[in-house]
Amino acid sequence: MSGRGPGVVLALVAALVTSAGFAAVAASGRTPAAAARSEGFQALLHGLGGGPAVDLSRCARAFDPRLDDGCPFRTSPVPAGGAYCAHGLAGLPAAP
Amino acid sequence: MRRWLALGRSGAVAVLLHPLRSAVTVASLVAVLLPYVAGLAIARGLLDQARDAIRLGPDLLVEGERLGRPAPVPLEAVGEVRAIPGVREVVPRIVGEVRLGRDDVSAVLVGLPLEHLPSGTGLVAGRLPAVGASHELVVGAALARRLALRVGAKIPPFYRNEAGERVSTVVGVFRSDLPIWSGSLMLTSLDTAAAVFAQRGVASSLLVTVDPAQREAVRRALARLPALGPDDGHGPVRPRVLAREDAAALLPSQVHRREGVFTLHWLLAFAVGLPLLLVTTGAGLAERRRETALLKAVGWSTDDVLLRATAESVLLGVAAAAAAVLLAVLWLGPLRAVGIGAVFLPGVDGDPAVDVPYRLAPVPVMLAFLLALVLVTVGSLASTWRAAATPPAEVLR
Repeated sequence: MSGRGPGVVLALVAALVTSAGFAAVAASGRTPAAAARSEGFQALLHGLGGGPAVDLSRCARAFDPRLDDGCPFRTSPVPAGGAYCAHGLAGLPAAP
Repeated sequence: MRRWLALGRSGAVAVLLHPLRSAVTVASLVAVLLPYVAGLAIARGLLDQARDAIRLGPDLLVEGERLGRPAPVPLEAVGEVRAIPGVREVVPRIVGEVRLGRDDVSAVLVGLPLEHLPSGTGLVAGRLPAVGASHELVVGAALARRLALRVGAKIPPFYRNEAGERVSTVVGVFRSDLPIWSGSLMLTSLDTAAAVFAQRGVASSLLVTVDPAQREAVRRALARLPALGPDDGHGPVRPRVLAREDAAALLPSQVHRREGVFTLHWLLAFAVGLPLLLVTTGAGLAERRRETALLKAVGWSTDDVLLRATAESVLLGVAAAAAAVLLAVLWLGPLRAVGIGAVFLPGVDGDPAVDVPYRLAPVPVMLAFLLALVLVTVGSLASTWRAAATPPAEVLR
């Protein structure tokens, strides 16, 4: 295959990678305004939250690890069961 | 150098020779990589907010303990704790769950002494509850949307108290770009929270600020207290003390362990997707065999054929990983994590009312590129090697 096709493919991939690089750098940190809002909220509430849950309906510890000392959804008898906490897919951002 | 450039160009030619196969390969990889990159980005964003919660939280958090479980703290203990040398400030706080509306929407009611609240300017549309006023609430953005609440709205009694139940007034709504724990929050005075729970004279915990030089001494003194407050006839309420450092020490290690488990799960997903990628990248494709045989027939060596296949794979893998990163940033940023926020953060709506935090760390991005390259390269090189090792005449017969 001749012509400009291969060049266009290479240019497109290069553009995609460059854009992804810029996007990754842009998303690699919080803006000062977002950090200030988060700090203001925590100062107002004297520190609240820390887990992946947004309410207390299932597990207080998943909302704030300081509020309770155990998670009822941890399948601790199962080997590595702690990893399968109901809060978050695969327990990704689960409470400590 | 020219030879390498020519091989790179031939890789692009190979991509264009089978546009459908190339598109399916990239789409398959993006489908697997996108949730992986987005999930790890949300985890890092949440970690940032969790660090703020601990850093700006109390030096020491004092709870009661009964039967080995957390128990409310009598407010009489505030004076006892304040009397310990080195203690600067003691703030009682109530945190508990309430349910509102026909659908029993869960909310987190937080009661604080209003004289201790900073201004909160800029965090709330409306105002904070006024000192001395009763049953004034600031509600979270998610709660306001679910229950159609706005500043000035009245909430009929949603609790039971023998001393009487009262209508509450919404005086403020938290902004939607605050940490995720603000979404279902109801902030009010300590007295109002005590009335809602019908529990007078107790708090969920005492938030203690201490002189940094005496932190350990205060902690030991608190732990040595025989009881928090007077005996109510059910035995002493023992103190339970949690230092900021204890909570902070848990966060990074836990997040890294969770990320490891998460990565493992996605590797399993990759394993399931591997046969698909093998098919789309060439295994069993008669075209690839014929193509390889023709190249060898016109003088290409086996190494050249393999390098051409590698160039094709690198182009496809890099394009897929870059597209996954771009789409993840687009999804979590401008598209506000619609659909995916609820997958990783339980309780968040499909169309989140509160901004879902995210941060792209370099390691997950690099890992996404690496996994994409390995998968596509393994798929195409294996089939190309088999085709290249076969005599061209036999393939073309």
